Amino acid sequence: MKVGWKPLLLLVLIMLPLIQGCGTAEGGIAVRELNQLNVVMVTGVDYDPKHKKFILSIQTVKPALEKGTAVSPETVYTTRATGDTIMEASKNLRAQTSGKLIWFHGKVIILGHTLVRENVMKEVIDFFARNREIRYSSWILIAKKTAEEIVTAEPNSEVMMGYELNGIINNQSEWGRTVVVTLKDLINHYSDSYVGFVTGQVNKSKGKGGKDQIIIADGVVINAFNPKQASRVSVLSKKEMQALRIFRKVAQQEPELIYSVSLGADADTKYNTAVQVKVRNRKATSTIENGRPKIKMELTLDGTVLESGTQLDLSKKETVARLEGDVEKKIIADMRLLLTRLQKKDNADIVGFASLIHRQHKDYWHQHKGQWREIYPNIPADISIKWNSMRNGIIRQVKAGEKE
Amino acid sequence: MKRVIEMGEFKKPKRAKVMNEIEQEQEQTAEDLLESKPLEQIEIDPITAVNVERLKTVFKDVDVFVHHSLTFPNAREGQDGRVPEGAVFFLDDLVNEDILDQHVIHPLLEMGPESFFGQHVEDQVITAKKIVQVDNLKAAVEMVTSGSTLVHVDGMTHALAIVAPGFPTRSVSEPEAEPLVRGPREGFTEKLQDNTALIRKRLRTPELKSEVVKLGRRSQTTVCFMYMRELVEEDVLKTVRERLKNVDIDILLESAQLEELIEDSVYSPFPQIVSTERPDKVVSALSEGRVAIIIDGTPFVLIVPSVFYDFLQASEDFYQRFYFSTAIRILRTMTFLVALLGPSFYIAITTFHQELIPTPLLLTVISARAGVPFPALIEALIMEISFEVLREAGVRLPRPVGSAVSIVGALVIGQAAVEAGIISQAMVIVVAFTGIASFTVPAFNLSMATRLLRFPMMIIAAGLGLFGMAIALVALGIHMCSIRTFGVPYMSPIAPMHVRTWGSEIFVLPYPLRKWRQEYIQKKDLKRSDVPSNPPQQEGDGQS
Repeated sequence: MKVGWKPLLLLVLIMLPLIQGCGTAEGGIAVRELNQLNVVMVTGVDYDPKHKKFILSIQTVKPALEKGTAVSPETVYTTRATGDTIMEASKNLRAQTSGKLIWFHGKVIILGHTLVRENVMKEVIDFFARNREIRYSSWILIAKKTAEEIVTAEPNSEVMMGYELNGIINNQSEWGRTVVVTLKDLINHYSDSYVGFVTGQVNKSKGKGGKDQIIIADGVVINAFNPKQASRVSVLSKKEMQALRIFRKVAQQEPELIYSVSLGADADTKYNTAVQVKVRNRKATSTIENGRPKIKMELTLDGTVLESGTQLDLSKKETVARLEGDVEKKIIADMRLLLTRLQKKDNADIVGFASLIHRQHKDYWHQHKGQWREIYPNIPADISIKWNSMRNGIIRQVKAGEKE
Repeated sequence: MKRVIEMGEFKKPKRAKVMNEIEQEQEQTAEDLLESKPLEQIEIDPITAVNVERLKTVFKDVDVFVHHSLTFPNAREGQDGRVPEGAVFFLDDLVNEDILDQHVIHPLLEMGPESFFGQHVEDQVITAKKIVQVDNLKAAVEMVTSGSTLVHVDGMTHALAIVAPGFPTRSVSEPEAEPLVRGPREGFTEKLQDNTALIRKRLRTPELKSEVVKLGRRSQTTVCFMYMRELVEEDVLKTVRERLKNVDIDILLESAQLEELIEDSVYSPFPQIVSTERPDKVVSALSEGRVAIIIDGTPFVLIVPSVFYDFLQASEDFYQRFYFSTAIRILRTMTFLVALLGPSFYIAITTFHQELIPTPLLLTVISARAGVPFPALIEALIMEISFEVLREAGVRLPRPVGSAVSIVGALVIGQAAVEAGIISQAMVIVVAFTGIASFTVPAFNLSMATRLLRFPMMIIAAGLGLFGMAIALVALGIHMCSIRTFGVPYMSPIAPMHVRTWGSEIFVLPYPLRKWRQEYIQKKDLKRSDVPSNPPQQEGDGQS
């Protein structure tokens, strides 16, 4: 049977407006012309426990045609809305903005401290997980005070807060003393009730000349063992974050961590040698001994001497071994300290013991997962470090006291 | 005219009287005869005067029709008491007069009495190169209209057509539509004989066969198709013969008309027959087992069967280093897609899928579009249509004026529209790049197809975004895969897959890797050569 092309074409043309591929609920075609857009760059969520309302604050940009630059301070716009639920608040935002809000490009989500404290994280995470405009690769930050304060803060080096936060987050891999995770990690870990969750803490302080200063430092641990008691939130210091990042691969990129030690007897400063450490390989194994799990952690590290004021000759094998030993001791001490804190005080499994045992000892896990909260604080960990390399650098060492 | 005076001298009064009688007698009968019988049933009369009258009637009111009676000085009276005489007929503007004088009329006038009849005239008297015997009036008329000179001498039951046409022709020059940097610069002309000569001189084998058909009810255009006997697939040849036989057209002026009449899918936007002005391209096609169709009066030669990828090839690809050619081939495939999808992709992602644009780029594009009063589709349509208008104006106008148009166009469209805020800069960039991309497609007919398909694509993209584009592309893909050209799937060697031939059809690999002929064109002889994969080792260094 041969169907003529004309009726077919007609059929297609008639059906065109009916296809709802990109349609709206009202039935029209959801065309969003570019010049109507208000691009949301930063989203902040807070909770008002008194009125039991969510506060949504956003920073948007509506670029205008100006000489050469798409974004100028005049094009950045900050607003807030409240609502009984986050969705309601986000709809209320539309009453205040002329353009169409799009969230696709909002790279940073800031959660206020009140959310964590008031046990409403579950709703917040669910909202972000369901919303199809929110990217799972958005960074999650927890504000020390309110999220709104960060969203409305004046940026220092960029035209808007979105760019500034993004830049600071991208630098974390070089710094390694905090970690910012993505929405995807948050959703994955938060849904697993045995795993804790950690992300960066953002804080605003008054800097020089009364200017706002935004710092992302430390890490916030949200204990997910019992989401109903999520108020047991605690903050890790920079040093603890550093140890955590050796323990586990938290972010995509392994950080380059600096450890300072004192090498040689008579040092003028507190420490005279800085070593940059990067984890090359991690091998964690779990064993069950007498019905109790035990973790064995083997780390392979790469080290690079970045500065040294020592008298000792770094080109000698013994010196290098001594240096390695010193750094090793320090790292292990830090890690033990962190582990003790997480196990005894916070009772948060952000180092990932639960998933390790789950993977390696399925039967044990299924029998004992009910008692995990009791088992976890008492799991002993054996940490050993192997050095893959200790690079000396290419310059000749300055020999103090040497003439000429 | 020298010829007229010469022949006038041999006219005798007595003969003139006889002629008049015969003429009067024949005048009525000739017209009646021509009306009552079709031309092909009227045979050539042994009496010249009868034929003269008949042809005069056929060519009545054709002012360039010339006939000359020939009276032979050496002739003796025949058995019927008449001195044999003859006549030549030709169309004055179509024959080569020098050849006519030297090789036809002079020898005829000087021949002896014994040489009047039969083969003798053809074999020994007329020294012209190509002589055709015609035995009915239709064939005679056809020969005269195609520029031959017709000779008849009393007693002959056929007429002789001396093929020595003297049309005005253009000399061989570089083809303008397919220029190249390196490679032969000869191009076809409007003369069939020149074109076949350009092919034959590059392919010196008796295996190169050519067959001739006359097409066009009134134009009677000579169409010649050439092929390599040992390579061409019988089915393809049969199809070509059959389709050419079935062509019914009034006037055939250009190969494009024939293309439309013999191609498989007339309604498809895609061209299915490659046309070229380059003899080297035709020769390489013949050596792949294809058939070349040459039409008298146009320099464009058709190549069948052609597949889609043939339209993305330029003959220069094989004359450059293969790295470069392969890169250019890949680039061309990409620019083909850009030419087809450029504006529609822009419309789709700016109106529906803003999440696909990186943030800084999005902000820049938004700021460029700030204040533009039209939706993206209208903006794109305005720009695309004005681009097509400019292009058309540039092509149609005389060359000196054409450049003025493009300057005004560039200034008005490019600058003023942007400054006035009617069109965004981003759209100008997209449309300009798409326009240029469409010119990188070597085949002009394919480039036109993509330019035209761009518009429905844009409308679909504005309504359905990338989903719509995907649907349209799938539909287009299904259509392209469903076409066959002379029995060969149009999307070969991609679908169906013939990886072996990708080396020359899609990419340009070094020679050892592209020694395989296209197996979807012919299966008789698949290997072009036996070049070993390793280059020959040099023996000795020549220094010892």
